[in-house]
Amino acid sequence: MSRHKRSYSSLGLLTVMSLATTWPVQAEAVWALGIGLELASSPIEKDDVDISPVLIASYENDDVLGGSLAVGTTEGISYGRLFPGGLTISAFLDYRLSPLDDADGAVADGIDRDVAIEIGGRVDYLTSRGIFSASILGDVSGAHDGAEATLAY
Amino acid sequence: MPFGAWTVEPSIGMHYRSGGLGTYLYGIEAGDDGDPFRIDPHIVPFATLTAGFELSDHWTLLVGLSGEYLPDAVTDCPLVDDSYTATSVLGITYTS
Repeated sequence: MSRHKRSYSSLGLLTVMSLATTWPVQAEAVWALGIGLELASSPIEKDDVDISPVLIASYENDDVLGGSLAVGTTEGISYGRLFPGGLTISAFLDYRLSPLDDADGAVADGIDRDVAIEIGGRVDYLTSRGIFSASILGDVSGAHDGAEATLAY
Repeated sequence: MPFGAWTVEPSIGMHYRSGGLGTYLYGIEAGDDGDPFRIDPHIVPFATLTAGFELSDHWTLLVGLSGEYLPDAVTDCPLVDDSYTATSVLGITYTS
């Protein structure tokens, strides 16, 4: 039940949270383990709020072939390199689940969705005012054959 | 940005989602039961707030909030009842 709710959080909140487990940023390898509770509302089923456990496990190594490797239960796999001037360019692989996959109630009966595997690239620019980021990803599993571009500050 | 033992990270942004991804998330595909409803490409604004509280050198309390606003291209689908998604997470982690 809770699985599909992460479809729209796996690339957002939980990603940020998992990366946050490495605060403060440390040199070389850092791993983190944790647990949590997630409350998620679904636009498919109004007034339905799910409470589910979350496992947080991540590993980050800032010294892999001159770049930074991160692997985690909530952010997938990413590899990035830091360039002078505060620019980081990274590639990532992650998964996504549709909230329709196993929604409660009759509204989504007869609807089934496969897990989507997505790959993409991301550029982060660190300034004194914060981090500007741009990313683009596409489905490589055939689950939706779609794409997503994101701008964030 | 640090506030004592807290580190707070707000973020805002927007997703551009293709019709294929939108339909996967909220639409009705040709193989599904019911009349197909393909969702057009659309933009989804979002905001997140993540906060970490250092309990000790290794233990951190995490709090996260996230929300997305779904445009008409999504809410026009008969499966969708609401124009937003909201997620909150409370967790604790041990960092090496």
